[in-house]
Amino acid sequence: MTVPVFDQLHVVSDLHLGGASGFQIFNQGKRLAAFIHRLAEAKADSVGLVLNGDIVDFLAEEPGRYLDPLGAVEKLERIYRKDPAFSMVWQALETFVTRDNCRLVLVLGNHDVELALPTVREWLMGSLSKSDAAARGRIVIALEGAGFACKVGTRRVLCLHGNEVDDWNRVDYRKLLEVSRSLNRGEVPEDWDANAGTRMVIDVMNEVKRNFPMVDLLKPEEEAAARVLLFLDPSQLGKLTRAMRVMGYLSKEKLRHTMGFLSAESEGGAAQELPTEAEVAHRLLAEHVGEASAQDQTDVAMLLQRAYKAIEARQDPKERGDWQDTEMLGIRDFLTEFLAEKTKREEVLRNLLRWWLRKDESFNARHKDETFKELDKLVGPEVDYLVAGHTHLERAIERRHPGRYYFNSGTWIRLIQLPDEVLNSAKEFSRVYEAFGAGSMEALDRLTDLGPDQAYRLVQNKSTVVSIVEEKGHTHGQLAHARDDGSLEPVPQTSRPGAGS
Amino acid sequence: MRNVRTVTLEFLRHGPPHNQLLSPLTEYLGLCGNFGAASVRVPYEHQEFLSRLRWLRYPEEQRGDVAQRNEVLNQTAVEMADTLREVPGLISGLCNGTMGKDTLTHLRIVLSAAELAMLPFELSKVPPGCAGGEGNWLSLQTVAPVSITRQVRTVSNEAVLWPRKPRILFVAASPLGLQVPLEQHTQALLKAILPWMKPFKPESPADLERAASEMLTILPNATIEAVEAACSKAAYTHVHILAHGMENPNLTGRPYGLALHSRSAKEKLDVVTGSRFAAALRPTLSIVGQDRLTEAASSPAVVTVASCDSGNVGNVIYNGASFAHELHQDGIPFVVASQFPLSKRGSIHMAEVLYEDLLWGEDPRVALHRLRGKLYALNATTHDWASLVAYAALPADLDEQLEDVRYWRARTAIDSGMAHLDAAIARMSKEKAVVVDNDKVIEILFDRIDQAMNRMPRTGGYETEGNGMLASTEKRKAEALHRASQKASDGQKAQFRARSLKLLESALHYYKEAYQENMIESHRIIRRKKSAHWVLCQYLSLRAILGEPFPREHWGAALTSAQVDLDLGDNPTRAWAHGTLAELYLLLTAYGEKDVPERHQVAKKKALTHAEQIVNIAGRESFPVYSTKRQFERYRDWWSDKSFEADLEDAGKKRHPGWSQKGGVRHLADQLARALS
Repeated sequence: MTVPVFDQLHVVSDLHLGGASGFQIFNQGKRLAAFIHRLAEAKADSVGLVLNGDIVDFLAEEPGRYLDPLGAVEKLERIYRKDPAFSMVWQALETFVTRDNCRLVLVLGNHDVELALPTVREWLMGSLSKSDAAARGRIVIALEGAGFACKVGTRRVLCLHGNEVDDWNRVDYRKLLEVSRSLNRGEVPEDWDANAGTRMVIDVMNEVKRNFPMVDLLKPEEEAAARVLLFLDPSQLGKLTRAMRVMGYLSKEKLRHTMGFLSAESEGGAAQELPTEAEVAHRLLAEHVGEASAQDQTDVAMLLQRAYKAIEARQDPKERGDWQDTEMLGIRDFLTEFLAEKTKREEVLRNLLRWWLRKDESFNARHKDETFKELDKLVGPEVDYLVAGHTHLERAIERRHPGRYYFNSGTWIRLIQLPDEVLNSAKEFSRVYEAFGAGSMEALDRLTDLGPDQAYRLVQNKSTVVSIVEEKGHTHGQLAHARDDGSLEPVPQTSRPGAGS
Repeated sequence: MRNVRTVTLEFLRHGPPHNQLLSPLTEYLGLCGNFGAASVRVPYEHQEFLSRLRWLRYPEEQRGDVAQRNEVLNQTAVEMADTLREVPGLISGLCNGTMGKDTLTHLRIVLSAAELAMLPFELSKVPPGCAGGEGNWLSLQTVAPVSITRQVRTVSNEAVLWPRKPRILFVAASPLGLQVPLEQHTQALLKAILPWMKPFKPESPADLERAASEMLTILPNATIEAVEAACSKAAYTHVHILAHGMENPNLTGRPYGLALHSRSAKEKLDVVTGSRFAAALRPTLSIVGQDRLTEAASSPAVVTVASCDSGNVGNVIYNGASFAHELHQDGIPFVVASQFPLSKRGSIHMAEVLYEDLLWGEDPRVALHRLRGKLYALNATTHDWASLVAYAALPADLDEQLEDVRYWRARTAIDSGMAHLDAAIARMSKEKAVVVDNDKVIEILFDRIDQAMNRMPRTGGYETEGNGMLASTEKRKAEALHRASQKASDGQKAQFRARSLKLLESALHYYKEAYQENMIESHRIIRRKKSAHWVLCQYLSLRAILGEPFPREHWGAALTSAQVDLDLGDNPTRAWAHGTLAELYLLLTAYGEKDVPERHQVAKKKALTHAEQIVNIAGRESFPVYSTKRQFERYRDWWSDKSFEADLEDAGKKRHPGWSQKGGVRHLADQLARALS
């Protein structure tokens, strides 16, 4: 099998370029441009830069559509040419492809599906290459859902976005091809049967994030954001219910994938039984009870003792509770009453986050998360370096096949990380809570003095790069963080093979 | 309320119970009593009625709009009344001449159609032409009180035995942190069982739990598996459920169920339907008897569901039965639930009223009526009173059964109170430092015993035994005070003894009433539980003790009555008769009568012979032997005691002087007590 061979391969992903000003989650344009310029000046014979999916974010653009075959070029043009937050990135890429020793690889993600459409692809390649044939030849397109395979030295590398193993976010490439066919034939494509993740973003989260932009930084397709949101604003339950109804597509997605993408008609209409608000509350708050039941095993003897004392004190049991007369024994009332008081919600959320995050390994680069496990199963031992993105969480792990490695290139967007120092302090968390509810990215960015040392930033910018380099016949991979000047700072203990290997 | 009369109203239609919507076009057959059937229609289209129900479910956006909700309530109530009055015979049934404030009319509505079960008959106004005042709420007015229950047509009420010895399973669940008033319901239930709890150390939670566990088992984080396991180990007569109600998303039609904890993870929900819950309540129960293991289906008589929507039919197309309906259908005779949301405050009223009443043996329909009234009077911002729905299949002889239950509940409560009193008096010697509080402790416990005495039935077959038990209790209280006086300060001593004598006089009064009620001519059907000789003998005994003259005719009557039991009765009856006869012959000595037919020596001999016979018939460890022996010990240790004689003298009472002399009452009582030891 003939594949491109590089001396150096650098992978970045999940840039999410797009969105209206004030709601953009990517804010590292200068740094990314500096990094690309540095690569363009590299002395190696062949340098590859892989943009490993979710390069742009069509879902964040107005008007929000599951797939926008007819409006995608216009949206891309805005992102490319009209938004100063991103223009320096594109310019750097244009420079990069002018270098003989450089190759730019574009891999399809799940927020930039339109890039696979012929007109969009053509527009992008033309723009990046400035219609220069040589430059155009240095752009490699991997937009069919197969990822990008190459070699660094003698070691084989496969770059996948990672949504291939995410039930929420699988892309139906065959359907996508049909859309392309229709466009080429001048026909109007059929409505795009979007996956659950896309529906969640378009139907619910885009609206939600206007008031709560932080949901984007907590990975909007996942439930953590929904849980936090419920505590910030219980009135969002209706929207969250809609979101959870989207979850009905999960089973459908799995089925489609397993059966080789059955047509929607043959499935007999999935998700007929839609979840109620009560069930959504259940799902979102379930782990809270995990905490409650773990910490508060009701002692019957003590329960009786308290009751006896109340009887002795002639207390009226109806006056022992702090509920309203109209508070009912129903789940809806629980939500209304339980979440009614902001102070109470804030404290409950803090406790919940402490519980949820007690064993959180999201930011541990060696933690074997589900995406790793699934991709490791999916990809054979012939691949020496498997590189994915999508999760926004950087990883450097040896695979189940010895001497084979998995890297995740994380993201360049803002990420929220809540350390124990913040969660253990009601005062510090209160500031975070206020910022969550403030309705702007700036409020989140401003929190740079959290924790006892007043030095912790709520919003992190990791700017992760996976670099696989061949030096003197030896190939190794490394996670690194880009500095503002574009240089790379290796992440400790993430060189693969490691020092002792 | 002393009397309960039942009026049965039945609505029928063709077809299965489910799969039909409300419509003014649908004809139902309405039947009441012996009157002919008539066609009845409801005034609603299904969708229209669902909109109506929405208002009654306290919609979030209009929760504060009590006026609007009341308007809907009123309008629906008038329409319910109009529907009811279409059934011939109902109005005359509700207006029967025997009615009055002392008579509760039990309106028993039998339904087969699920869509009709959606209609809140319980909130009906008084149908025009009925007693109670047009415009008043039918089930709240007090002119001619009405208690409404529902019954599933297929549920039989024949073999229902109302429990005499209640045992409560309290099932509470709060998955997801869904707060339920667990503490408050526990308080209500604990308060309800306190009159029957054995003595315990209040400062010890474990001891309190042990004492409570004989009547109350609490599952605070209940799973359906825990309910089943509990019911496999013990036969519960009452089950009280405190949980949130919600739709079950996993079942077709999303029927309402109760949110219990999931077995796999306590934090998760398991929305349990009525039929699943009923199956868990009725496992095969293995009972280890004296020498063999028997298996029987555990079957509670009462299930009370403090939850929203436990009586809500939900989707009539698929399931057509509420949680309560399914429980009832699976054989639970009396199920109380809520067809709309139930307030937390209302749920506590529910636990307080129902369990206080039911544990004392009150008629469940009367308890339901009392609860409804209380909910109406005390919760102005909700309509919990109308939400309350009861499914009942009660036996025809319920009144008779309840009289028995009341007797046993009162009797066991008295025994429990006496046990607490005995324990308190036993503690007194050890706690001399707090001797000043003795009278307070005794006062509190006397109060408790008196409350139990007030519950003792003295009619319906319990004329003799009820009065006799009250007399016996007064005597036991007097004895307790006498014992307390021995440990009391000088000031208290005199007070206790004087009161003890008063209690003996009160006991004498009750015994007199008891034998008179036993012998008086009656126009009622008599269900006599006890022979006259027991109470007559005790009457004679107290008269002798208090220095009253010997009523020879009474002695003869008691002798005859005991002799009849001895000649014709079964072994237990004969044993008690021997006990009476032994005491009657002792009394000859006590009265010191010279002209009685029996000479003293012969009397003593006969007394001892009868005492031996009790042992021969009943066995030395039996209750008749224990009880008779204790009575003779009283003669020996209490009534022959010099301090008691001094008390009599202080009270101006003169008794036959030979009690404490050699060969007197004390001597013979001692011989008799020994014979029974």
